[in-house]
Amino acid sequence: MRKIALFLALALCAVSCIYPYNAEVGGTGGNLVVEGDIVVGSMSNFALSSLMPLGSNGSPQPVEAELWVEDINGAHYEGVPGEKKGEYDVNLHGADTSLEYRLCIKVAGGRDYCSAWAKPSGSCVIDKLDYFINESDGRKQGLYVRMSMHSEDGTQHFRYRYVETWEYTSYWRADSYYDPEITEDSPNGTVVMFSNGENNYYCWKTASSRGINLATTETMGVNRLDDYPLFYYEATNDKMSRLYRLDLEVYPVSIESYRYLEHIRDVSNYDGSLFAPIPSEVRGNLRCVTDDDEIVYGYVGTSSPQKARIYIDNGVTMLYVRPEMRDAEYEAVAPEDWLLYYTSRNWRPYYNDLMAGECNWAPARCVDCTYYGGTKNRPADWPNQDK
Amino acid sequence: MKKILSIAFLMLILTCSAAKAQDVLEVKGVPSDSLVSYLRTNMGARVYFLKDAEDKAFYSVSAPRTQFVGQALGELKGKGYTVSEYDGAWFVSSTAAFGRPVLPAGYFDAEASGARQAADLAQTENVTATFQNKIYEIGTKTPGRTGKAYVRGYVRDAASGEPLVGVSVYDDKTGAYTVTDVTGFYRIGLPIGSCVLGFSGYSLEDVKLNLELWSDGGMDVLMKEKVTSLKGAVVSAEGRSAHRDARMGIEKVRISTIKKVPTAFGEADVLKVVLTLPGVKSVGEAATGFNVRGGATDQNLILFNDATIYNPGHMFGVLSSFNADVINDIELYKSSIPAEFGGRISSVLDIRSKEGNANKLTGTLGIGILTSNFTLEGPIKKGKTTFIIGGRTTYSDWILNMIPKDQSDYAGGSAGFSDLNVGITHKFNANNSIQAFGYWSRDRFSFGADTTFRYSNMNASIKWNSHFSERHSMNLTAGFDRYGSQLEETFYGPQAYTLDAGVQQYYLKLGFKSNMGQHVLSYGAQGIFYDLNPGVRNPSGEMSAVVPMELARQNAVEAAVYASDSWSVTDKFLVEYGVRGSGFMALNPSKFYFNPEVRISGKYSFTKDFTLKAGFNSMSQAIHMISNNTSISPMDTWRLSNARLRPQTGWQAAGGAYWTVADGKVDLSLEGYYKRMYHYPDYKSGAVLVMNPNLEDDLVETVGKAYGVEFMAKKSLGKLNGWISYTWSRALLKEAEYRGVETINGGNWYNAPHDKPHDLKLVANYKFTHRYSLSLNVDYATGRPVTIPTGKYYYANTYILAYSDRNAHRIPDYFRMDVAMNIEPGHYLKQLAHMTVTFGAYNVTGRKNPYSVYYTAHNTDQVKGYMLSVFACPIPYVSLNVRF
Repeated sequence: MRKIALFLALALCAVSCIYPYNAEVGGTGGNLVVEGDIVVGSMSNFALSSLMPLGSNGSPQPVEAELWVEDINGAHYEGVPGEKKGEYDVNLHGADTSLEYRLCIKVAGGRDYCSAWAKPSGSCVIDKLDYFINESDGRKQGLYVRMSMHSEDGTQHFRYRYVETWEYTSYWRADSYYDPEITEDSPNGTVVMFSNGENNYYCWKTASSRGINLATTETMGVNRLDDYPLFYYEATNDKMSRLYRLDLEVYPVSIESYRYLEHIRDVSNYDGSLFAPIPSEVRGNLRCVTDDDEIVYGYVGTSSPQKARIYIDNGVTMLYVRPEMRDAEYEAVAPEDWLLYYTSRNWRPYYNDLMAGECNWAPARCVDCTYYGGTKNRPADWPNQDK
Repeated sequence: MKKILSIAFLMLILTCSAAKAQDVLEVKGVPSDSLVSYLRTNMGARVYFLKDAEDKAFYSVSAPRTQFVGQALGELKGKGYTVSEYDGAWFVSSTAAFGRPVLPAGYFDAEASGARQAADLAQTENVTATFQNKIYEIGTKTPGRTGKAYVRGYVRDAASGEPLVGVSVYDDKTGAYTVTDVTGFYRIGLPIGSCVLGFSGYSLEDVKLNLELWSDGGMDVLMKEKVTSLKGAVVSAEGRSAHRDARMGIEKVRISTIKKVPTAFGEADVLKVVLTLPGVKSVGEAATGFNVRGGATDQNLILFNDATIYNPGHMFGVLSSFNADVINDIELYKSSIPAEFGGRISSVLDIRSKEGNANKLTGTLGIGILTSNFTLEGPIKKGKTTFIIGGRTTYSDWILNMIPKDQSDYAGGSAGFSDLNVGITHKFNANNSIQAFGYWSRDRFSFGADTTFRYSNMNASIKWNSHFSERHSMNLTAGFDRYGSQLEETFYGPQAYTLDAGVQQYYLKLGFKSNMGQHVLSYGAQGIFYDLNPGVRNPSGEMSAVVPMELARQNAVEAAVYASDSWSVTDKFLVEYGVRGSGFMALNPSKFYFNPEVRISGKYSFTKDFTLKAGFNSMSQAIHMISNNTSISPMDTWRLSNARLRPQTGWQAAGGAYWTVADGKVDLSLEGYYKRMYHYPDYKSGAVLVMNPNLEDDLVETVGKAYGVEFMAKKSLGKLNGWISYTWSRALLKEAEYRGVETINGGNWYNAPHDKPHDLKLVANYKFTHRYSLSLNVDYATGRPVTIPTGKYYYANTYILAYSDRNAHRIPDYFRMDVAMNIEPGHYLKQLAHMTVTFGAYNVTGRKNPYSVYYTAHNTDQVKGYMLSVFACPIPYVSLNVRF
């Protein structure tokens, strides 16, 4: 009977399916996209790009423009080009937080754009940034990163961004590396022993939050979020493997900004399910001065972020469970033999068995932490001694 | 052979008994038919006997030869038989017997009793007729009289005693025509003298009765469900009913047909069958609700025994809310909506349940892949009170729990529903009956651990039907409807909440019908009190810090009066016209709207097989479902009209041609319509529809237009029966006022979500034998309009989508074919239970019909398109239904 039920269950779940859909839908492009907030009292960063047709495979096209922030009294804060094309920084140190501000942009061709006037959107305080280990069946399953925050001026809507940095290791620690430099004595490069603690074992990665993250106390009796879960990581996530750092920024936002951001987030994550709202397009707070019908994408908020940082050390949490490395293997040969053969297969020296006169080779994914995109550039303020 | 042996054996017993005593005859323990047989053969008595099928008694008679006949007839009388003598012959019958006229004792003594007795008979107790070769005399015999007289009575199902609704009653010679009402009652005017009165109804065997009409009188008629002839089609007048009725756009389906249409998981489904009718569309599989001639889902009035059903779907729309085993028939009004119906601007779906078997206790038990159901019906007091109770439940939870967690997104989800129908009908006398009805349903489902949906329908009503005079009838209905939905969100404990919303209404309906010869008048008044809960949010769980919030309840009173007349100008020309005045009073704050409505339709029959019709009707609607979903969902918000939300209004003009061909075997119809809708509330882009105290700010008024042509060929008879229909139609909306760049689609006409121009449907059933039949269902439609992204931009480290104009694109076309094999029970009447087995496959071609298409970056650097298909492969099924 149980087998019949299982068959029915699988049949039921099999009938509803999601398939790739690649119909040609045409597409539009070229409209201005503005990302960034007016951060009164600090440096504000803006990125200008253009809308791309849906089927476009290229990178976002930056837009060059003249850009400035102005306050309601007419003071101008000029933008200067940032590190990348289409990025601009505006120094708003010393700006009066009681005034209304707006962002203005003049692009080539004489089209002018301005955001709506807005005052800085309240404030908030991050009370705590911590984590909570989820245990079940007597095992640590994963970890929630949580924040507690409140607002004393009635602000109810918030947006947060974060930057994660984490240290991880390769599967095995190699004591040698391959030096591809060709010399007369070593026409195929050489296997070199690490010295002075150098290694391919410790790596660091950094990633900024993706997508639009929002929180609100709108339905609550207090403007306080306690232990609000930001995200969850399984115990097998390599971010939890050694040392992890989270730098969090929380921006108070206006309700209009919140609604806009919530809407574009939801329609971009629309999954076509039975009860999902039908997606639609909404307008932000930017207008083309010369053509009100032109749609400008983005919402320029006016606020000051609060920041917080947390480290999560696996030595403390004892959470990380290293996934079994499939097909982990190594082969021993004489150090000078087979160099090209192994390197062409993307294998790396694992350890040099000097006694046996052999070098053990292993796939790079097992012994070289940079294989997974990490870097050996240790953050300057990284708190442990790994390198 | 068995019978012959039994009779021979009985004869032997009887002969032996008679031989024992020469003057005293004696029979012992014989059935009634054997006793009668003995009277005929041994006593020479002319006895005409119709045995009661329920008569299982054994008779013993011992009497002198000269008194034996009287004694034997006395015994039969004592068991409930009626015995009459006429012209030296004895007529023995039972009032409970089916298939023969029931005549009161002494009927054939009319000469002795005089005309008074016959007249009384005509007034008080109807003749019950099914014999087509008998001449039924109606009324008081008055030779030489001419003119017109009226025959009235009830048409009932021969097997269950259920009233048959919508049966055509006609006289071909004069063109007189009427249909039975919801109580199965009919009244028809016929010329005094001889005539042939025909009775025909969908999936019923035609009945033609020879009448000798003297004056006004009554005649009840029993009709049987049609058993398809296997040797060829039998010509029926049923199809010609379209030529007799002036109304247009009416589709009627009996439950026997519904049960043969293949559906997903093999569940007989009323709404899925409605979707096979021309002009009826849905936005997709597993979508609750339907769209009629370009109307929105909330513009359909779904009545279940007069109760309004706000959410007609179970399991997020996979099944409908109606238990097919308790339903008698359904009628869908797409165009000519009778004046007695109002409150919605698109259509009326009138679903009527059975009253319960009047003759014996019966029931059904059904087992399917997803659900089980039962019904029980029968007499509480024979001839007076009947009941029916039916329920369904599902074991989908159990199935979902079996799914391994790593094999499907459904794992950890749950879905379940139950429903219960209860009905009791009591007949005070031939002219007065009362019917109480209750319906309850409950749905619950969640796709994950954090979000749970629940909704429930509850309806109760009581209805009094009275035919208080020869020409006048009345029905009075009082009832209560409640629909409630709940969303529970528990993702983050401090913000966990429940969100409840619902509609309650109390109603009173009084309707009269008067048959005035060429005019049949309908008139009445109705009142509804609405108590609507737009939304209440409460914390869920101890951790929750959510502040309770309640949107102001909405109350309103809607009162309407109506009057209409069906005027047979000539036997070829019929006009139906009516008016309905509807007053809607929103309370707190007060706002009054008055909406006059017009209904008119007419037909002209050029021949008995070719008719042209035209019609116009206007409607209004003061309750609105505000939704930005594709289909009806528990998240929808219902709102009443108020000072800022005007009632929707609309009108439809339609014309059609109806042609019966192939000797009456095939009915062809071609209908065209043009429809306008006003004040239909659509939502602004980015609107917040849930718990929004100022919802009207996020809504816009739109005007709508819909037009189309529907062609249908229907074959109701023969081994092969069913219908094929093709519809071409459009449904468009436009924002009523230009609001600048934010105006939906720039203020231009845009496709309604259910605009599917081409629609081809085929429903066919082929009977190999009386027991075995094959059903086929084919559905093709243009893909529905969707809003899809046309651009993307990089924002917040991911791609955000920029959307096109609303509903500017279409998903791929829809095609589905279903087949089913039906094995019906044998015709052994004495069998304890009869089992119907259906096995088949839904979407037999396995076409991946998209329910929706969407694009997403999912926080990655690539935007990809996906298609969600609800039933993406053939779904085989088996269902068992046991009738006992």
